[in-house]
Amino acid sequence: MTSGRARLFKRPWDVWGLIFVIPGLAYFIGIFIYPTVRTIGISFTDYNLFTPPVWSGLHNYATLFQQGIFLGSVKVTAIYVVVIGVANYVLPFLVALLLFRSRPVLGIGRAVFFLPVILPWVVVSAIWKIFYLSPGPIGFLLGLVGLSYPVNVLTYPGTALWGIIATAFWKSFGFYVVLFLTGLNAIPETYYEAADMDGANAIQRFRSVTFPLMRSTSLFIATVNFIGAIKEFDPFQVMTAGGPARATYVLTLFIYETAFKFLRMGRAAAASLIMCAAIVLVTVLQFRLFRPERD
Amino acid sequence: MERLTGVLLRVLRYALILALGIAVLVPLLWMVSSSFMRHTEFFAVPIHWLPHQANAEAYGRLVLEQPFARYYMNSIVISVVVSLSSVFFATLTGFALSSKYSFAGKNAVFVFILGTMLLPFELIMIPLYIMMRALGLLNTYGAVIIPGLLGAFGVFLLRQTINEIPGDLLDAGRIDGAHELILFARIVMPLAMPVMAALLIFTFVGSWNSYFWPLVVINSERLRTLTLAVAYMQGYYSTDYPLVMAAAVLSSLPIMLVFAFSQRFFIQSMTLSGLKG
Repeated sequence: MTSGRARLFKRPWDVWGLIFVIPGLAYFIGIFIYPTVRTIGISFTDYNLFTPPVWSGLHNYATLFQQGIFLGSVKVTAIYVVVIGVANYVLPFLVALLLFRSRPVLGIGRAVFFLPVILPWVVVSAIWKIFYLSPGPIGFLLGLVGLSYPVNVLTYPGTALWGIIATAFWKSFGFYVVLFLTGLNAIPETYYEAADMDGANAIQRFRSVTFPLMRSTSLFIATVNFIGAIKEFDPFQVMTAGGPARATYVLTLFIYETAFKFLRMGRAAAASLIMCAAIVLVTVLQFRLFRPERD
Repeated sequence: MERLTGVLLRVLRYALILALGIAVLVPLLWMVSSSFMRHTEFFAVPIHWLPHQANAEAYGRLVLEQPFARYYMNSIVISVVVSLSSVFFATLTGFALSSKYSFAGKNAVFVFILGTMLLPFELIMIPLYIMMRALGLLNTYGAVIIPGLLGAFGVFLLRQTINEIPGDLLDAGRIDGAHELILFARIVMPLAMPVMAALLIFTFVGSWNSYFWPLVVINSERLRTLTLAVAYMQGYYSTDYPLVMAAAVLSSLPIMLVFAFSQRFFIQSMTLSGLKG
């Protein structure tokens, strides 16, 4: 007994660590683990919230993969995640490289770029829904550079998703610029001095110093960006409600409507599990891809 | 030659910042400007960037014809409770899991809590809804608040912070016979205060902006948060744009103010989050 206690707690006060962790741990079990287990259970049933669930085995999964609406939402989500993922990586990286070490403007620029990041999506959606009207502000601005804007992009299946992507980029790029700047600032000056002594030009410096040393920043950004994008719901629900013709009907919207509009809890649960599997899979892949070489 | 490229680079930098700044600000300024327009002016062709006769009529209608003060109160109550609770429990849990204690399973608990960050909310939403219904909490503040009371990110952030507090400070207190709870309140909390404040702002804004879960558990008009109200208005008053814009301005005002007063702090908290780990 005494020896068991001695192994569990090295010092007498260590027992308080265990006591302090209990509320938090209980909360995470109650709010995350228990519901996850129940979602797995519900996904094998037909359940409409009002009559008891009926066991249906893998039927929900089988149905999903034959359902055009589900497969369509996976496709729309995949396009969104890839396009916004690349845009939020490449462009903020370039901007950060250019802004890096220009202190006076940086402070102001950073604050301004960050404004859309902190605004609610619902507000951003309201602004851009009106901005995209035709005739409207976007049309006016494009007119200034001689481009025509004949129709509201959000009302055409071919362009609606791109309208939302542009808005999402407007909202989030400041966040990624700041993340890249933080990463760049963490690179020790001596690395650049060494590169300069070897007579490296700007491109060589980037390839042999900046990029390799930005691996952990890159990993973090790719992960945050991906998880944020695949979970995105607000703009799709508020700006277009998934339309027109389901052109912006993403997975989160599919899950939400399947559950709370059509009351097919089992099918929604199955879809959310597939989504979770995708998140875990891609995150693991990203860790493989960007893992710092020795760490 | 070298000086020339230096100058060119500088010009390019300023031009880039200016262009991006304008691209960010134009839609925001237009939100404010158009909220002071009359309905007819809103649809002027070519459009007016500034109201020719500014008036606050849309704001008047918002306050008089809509329970807008009520929406404000709902958002404030929910965000205050969520952020205070998150910070307190993140600090306590972060302290427990920090280097200041060692007990069997500590690291496993930490990894488990971090792992919950990977779970999308959609995954737990149906059982949470069933739980809230069973507890009779649908259409109450409780249903909105409960899933936000503590987050893994906060635990991670506070654990990192508390790890850096010198252990000697705590040991000195122990020699004086202070209880661990006293050490938590008198040493850990004061030293972690800047990070706690950053987390407070971070969770307040996150809760203020949240839309998905309130949409699921709130039906009654009286309990709508500002985000729900702004979204519903876009549906019901879909062409009363000045009204929607006025609502958008009023609902982003508090976080704009928070941001204005704690900008550096704020950005630091958001970026510190991952890069150190």
